[in-house]
Amino acid sequence: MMEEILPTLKEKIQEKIHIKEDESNLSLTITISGTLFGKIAYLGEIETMLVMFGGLNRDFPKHVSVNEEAQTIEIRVENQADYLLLQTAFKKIWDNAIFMFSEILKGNFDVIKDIPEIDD
Amino acid sequence: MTDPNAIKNNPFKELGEIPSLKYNGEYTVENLQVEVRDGTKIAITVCLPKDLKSNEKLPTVLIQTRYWRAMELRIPFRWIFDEAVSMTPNPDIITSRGYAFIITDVRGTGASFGTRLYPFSEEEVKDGYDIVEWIISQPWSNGKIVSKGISYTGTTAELFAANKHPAIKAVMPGHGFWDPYTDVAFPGGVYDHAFMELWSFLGKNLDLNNPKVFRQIMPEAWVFVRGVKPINSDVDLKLLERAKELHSKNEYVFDNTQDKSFRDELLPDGTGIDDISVFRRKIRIEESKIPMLIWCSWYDSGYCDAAIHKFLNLNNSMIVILGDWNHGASLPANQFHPERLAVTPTPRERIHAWMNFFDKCVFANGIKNKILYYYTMVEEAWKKTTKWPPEGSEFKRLYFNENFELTFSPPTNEQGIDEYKVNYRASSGRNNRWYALLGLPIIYQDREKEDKRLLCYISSPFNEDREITGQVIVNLFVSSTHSDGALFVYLEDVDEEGRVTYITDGEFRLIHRKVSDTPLYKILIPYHSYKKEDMLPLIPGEINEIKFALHVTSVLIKKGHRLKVAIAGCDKDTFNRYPSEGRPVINLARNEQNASYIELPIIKRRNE
Repeated sequence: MMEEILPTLKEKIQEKIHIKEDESNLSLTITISGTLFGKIAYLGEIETMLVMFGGLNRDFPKHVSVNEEAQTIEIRVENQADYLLLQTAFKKIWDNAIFMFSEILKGNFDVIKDIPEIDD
Repeated sequence: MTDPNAIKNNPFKELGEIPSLKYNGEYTVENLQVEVRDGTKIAITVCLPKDLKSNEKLPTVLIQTRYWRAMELRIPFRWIFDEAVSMTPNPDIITSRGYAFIITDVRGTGASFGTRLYPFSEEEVKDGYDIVEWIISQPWSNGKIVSKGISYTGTTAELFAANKHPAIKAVMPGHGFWDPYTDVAFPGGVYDHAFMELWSFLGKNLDLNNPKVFRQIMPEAWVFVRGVKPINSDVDLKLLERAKELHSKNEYVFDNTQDKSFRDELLPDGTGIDDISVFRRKIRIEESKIPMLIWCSWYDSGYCDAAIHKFLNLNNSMIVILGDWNHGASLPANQFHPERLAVTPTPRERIHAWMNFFDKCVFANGIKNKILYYYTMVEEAWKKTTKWPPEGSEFKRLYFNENFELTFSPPTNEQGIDEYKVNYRASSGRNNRWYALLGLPIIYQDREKEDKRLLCYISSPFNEDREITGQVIVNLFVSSTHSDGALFVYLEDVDEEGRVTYITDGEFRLIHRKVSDTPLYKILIPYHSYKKEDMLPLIPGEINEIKFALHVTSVLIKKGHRLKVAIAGCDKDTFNRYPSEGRPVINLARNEQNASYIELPIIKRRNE
């Protein structure tokens, strides 16, 4: 019954996921509030999320630090250009995730056809 | 989808309204391992009502699956939802009704340890007993357990009863087999290579924790799911890795059956396909005296026949329900009403009905006797019966006759034969009753175009409404240019405008034509052993009598409509081709001496 979660998905994302941008530090920190259902992020998951939902099609160096206890993920990049890419990805990432999921539930599988191979 | 206005005899209404809920639907989730008798660790997910008080005790609903008991969601979904959100049914329904909900990965799958050579082994069944012992030792358990499921989990629920544990109070097998040889792997002795290969492919990838497989066959799951949910303590995923190592030694049914033909050919370790059946565990299931709710659909593979065989062969008190939905009732499937987009009842309504059945068995006196509810399509009505076939059932023959007609009177000509060169492009498509086992929608479309490749016969318009309920028997006199072959017979309704609608069909491999009088279980149709010793290749050019049955159905043929029988020699997208080479020419005899016919199980009207 995955269709049942769609109506509340956006609201829950806004409730639980907070992004703090720090341009001077070329970093972006994600904080998950409330109960977490499992590990905050496995190795490589942030990159996968950025490719799948953030539309990132260029690989660039990024340093990902996960703090399970504080429920935060800090992503730091090396230059301004990469920071802009990261920022852009995060502006659309949640809406993309919701859109992709809802389109697939309607049977429109075209939305995933351009995503490269991301699973091990 | 059943007509929502079909209230009379509606089993979902008769199971009762939704009672007031005992808990608020919020639940806790815990993932852990339970060690069973031989040391194998079984992964289980336990959901309890969040507002459960410390002194309260609950019965348990148990599901045992090979399809990942719980899924690790991808981020960002995992940041928002727990793994139970991907479960069907969602635990909120079950916990709100005052039950604990437990779902396990059967051995050799998911996050459980162990290796599996084939499904539904005795080891797998016995694990259920050990899980019961664990459940009833928990402080929140009231010592009563029920089990439910659809498809694989329907069969694990049914075989769970064979453990005969006194804590088991009811089982609810939905859309499961009785005889895996005839109901799914080799219907009519014809190998369903499409499903067997796809199912094995899915199983292998699930067991190796490879979500890539979802991208091809269930994209919505691929977007949402990262893999199987590890148990809570497995923070470094070492246990999951160990499970995966053990699963790499698994064997899969396609590899072990694709080169086989006969029921008595063996699986690994000397097990036969009958050993993993439900019918082989009949005595133990009956000894358990556990009440059952068995449900299925007319359009579901050979599982529809399985529901009838369970009703005929098991003496457990039971409710059987046969409707017009797809495999698992997530989608409507009534080919006479393609405009219906949503299934009735809704999945939530249906689960509440199942919980009402469980309440009767756990908190009250259970159910007595047997009753079968069935939905007659076109009439769009529910009926109920305590016997099968239902009261008033009689067979009427339709003969194959000149000019490709079907007539109620037999042919009088001496020489009538129709020739058909098998067209190996014939197909019932990839949304048929067999692909539906993968959860796909069932769509036969207008059969008129496909019938152009087939040998077809059509009746005159019916002069009154006629209900056909049961299994149509096919009795053909055929010869072939080859010693092997298969027949696929489609029964179709043709309306006044000429629109052709699929009703049901059947398939049969001709080398199995010997009819046996020692069936393995009670059966109302011509019985074939499908054993190697009974193999009877055709003698090319010689007429032989071929008898088999179509899959069970219930439909009203309206006054003015005609019945059509379309005969193929292959179904290329689903079944193996027989013979593997060559292109047989089949002669169907329809004359005084060899009068081919079908027998329709007609239900007499009350005033007849």
